[in-house]
Amino acid sequence: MTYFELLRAHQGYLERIALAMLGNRADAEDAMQEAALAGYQHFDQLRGGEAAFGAWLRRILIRQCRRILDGRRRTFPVDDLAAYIPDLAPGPDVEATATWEMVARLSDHLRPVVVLRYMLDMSQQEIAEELAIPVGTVKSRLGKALALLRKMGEAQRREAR
Amino acid sequence: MMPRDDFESRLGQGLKRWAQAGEPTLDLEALVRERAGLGPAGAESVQPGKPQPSLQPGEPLLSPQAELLQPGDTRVPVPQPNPTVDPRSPRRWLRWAGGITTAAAALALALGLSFPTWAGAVAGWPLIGPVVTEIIMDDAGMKWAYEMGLMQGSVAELSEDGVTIRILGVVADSRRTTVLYQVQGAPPVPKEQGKQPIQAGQDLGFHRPTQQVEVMITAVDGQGGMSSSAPPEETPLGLVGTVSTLPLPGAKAELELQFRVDEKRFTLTVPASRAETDRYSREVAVNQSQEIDGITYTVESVTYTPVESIVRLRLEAPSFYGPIQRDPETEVLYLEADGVRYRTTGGGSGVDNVFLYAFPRVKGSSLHLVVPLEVKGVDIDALWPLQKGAVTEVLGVPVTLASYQRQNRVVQFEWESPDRDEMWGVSGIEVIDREGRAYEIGAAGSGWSGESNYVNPETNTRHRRFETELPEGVEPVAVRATRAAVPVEGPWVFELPQ
Repeated sequence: MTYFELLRAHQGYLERIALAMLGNRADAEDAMQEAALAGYQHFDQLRGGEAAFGAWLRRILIRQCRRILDGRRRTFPVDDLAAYIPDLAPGPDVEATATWEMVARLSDHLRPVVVLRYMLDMSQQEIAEELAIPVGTVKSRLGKALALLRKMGEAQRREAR
Repeated sequence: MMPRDDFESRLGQGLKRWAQAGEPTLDLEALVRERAGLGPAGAESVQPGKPQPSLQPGEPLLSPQAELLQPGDTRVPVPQPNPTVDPRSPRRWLRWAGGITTAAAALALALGLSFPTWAGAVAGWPLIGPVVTEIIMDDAGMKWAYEMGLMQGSVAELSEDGVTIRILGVVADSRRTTVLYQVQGAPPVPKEQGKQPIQAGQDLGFHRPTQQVEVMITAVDGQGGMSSSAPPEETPLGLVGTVSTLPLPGAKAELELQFRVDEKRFTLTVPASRAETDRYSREVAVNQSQEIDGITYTVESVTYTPVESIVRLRLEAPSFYGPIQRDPETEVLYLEADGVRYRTTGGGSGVDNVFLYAFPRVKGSSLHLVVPLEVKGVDIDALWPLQKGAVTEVLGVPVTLASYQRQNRVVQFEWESPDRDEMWGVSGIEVIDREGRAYEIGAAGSGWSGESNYVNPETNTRHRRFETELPEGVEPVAVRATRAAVPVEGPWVFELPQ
């Protein structure tokens, strides 16, 4: 398969990862574009054949997401904030949609850690390496995020009754 | 690894199903082909990949500097890599300096709720609940003040013309004076989408929603001053937001606040006091200045609280008036104690060129503040016709107008340039009409603008984006930049008395 055929096969899932990491579609699209271009330019460095393509491009994408998150923390213009409301994209079922709606409300500090841990099943050490933060910080952020998500889950259940 | 409980399992499964349901929304092939300089699909046999020193599978992601603060290092309290803000953009600090945290924490107090009760109450608020808890936990000063019961509840209320404004709390300490407010009866915020891929004939997606509430602290004890605020958050309680100014000059003061709600204006006065928080703080005057290449930093004082070291810093430099992405490892100020570096734990609150940076409360035989690098603005005159690909040299660096888009009066410019130290981006943007008249656009205080300025290390390319609204009736034929950012290598180093 060509690069573009492989890209198309993985694109929907990767777009969702970018959206989950960054919380809004505008930045997610920027990250996808940069990752797709970087993947194209470095396609000859892919090891492991087509089977490894998804994980390989995902890693490039996560690096792009981290770069955007870092830049956003330092230079995010206040004027743009309202355009960066969380994007509540629907899932295939009510529970998946509700799960994302909770995670989408987490801050830029907490949401990426949750995404890497629970969506991509990374270990705390792997998350620390991907985000360039200490493992202790990963643990504390996961703890905070889970506490918040549990509260939101309880609130959702109360509303549903 | 700890086993996952039922909640975590459902969380993971829900997220995975949500992600797997994603459908492509972008024409990535076309975008990659365009940026890689390829023709349309099928025009040639695509042989991507070329030898470039970039990503390698297994390549370590941590930079060498990141190893400085290793987890588990018992010497170091492992300060969190909190956001560092651009000190030239005073309006930008608040969001990341814990403004809404302050607001949320004060909200609980203003409502007279004990923490457990309050925590239970906010769990039902889908938007503000998570924000509240995180801010208290992330802001060492706030957390400490909250635990010590030192946040000041101060309730004032005004109802007029269907609008109700409540002042729910004031937090005054050696780092900030922040007022939490609630507005009910404001018109709803239009829900806007972010930037979308643009198709022929399709509306542009970039625009700024109308901000229906603006708040300023217009006077402290009758003296005018500047304040910083971020757009308020929509909550089940109405719009909730904060507005902040510098620490009070004395123990107590009257704050005058002005609200604009839609087209109506309201003025309120509230008392503020830092007397209680000051009992636990010790301010030491420093008043040392250093000038390097036209940029003067002055450390005015350092305040030690039980949990923070707060440096009051004054910056005098020709402004760039634009955002700049910085490398947090090498380009952002830090505190150094006995050879260990500590990053800021709270953003600098910048008003009138004075910035307050919070660091962990550390002790050592020597304590230094180090500013490794700063950026200044210089005058330029660089002009691009409104043609994609137009190139103009700025301080010896070729800058390409990579795209120009417009919908009605909203315009967006994107420039690309090689990542070089001579020039870190352009600002002071003007458009030129057919008669050669120049119109400054998106200037501070004259309306909205959205912008970014960052380097893609994969391509060593600087990307500068600027979007704003054209003045009424102006039809531009060219765009001009009148300022450029120039980095100045420090370091500015100050020994801090303890």
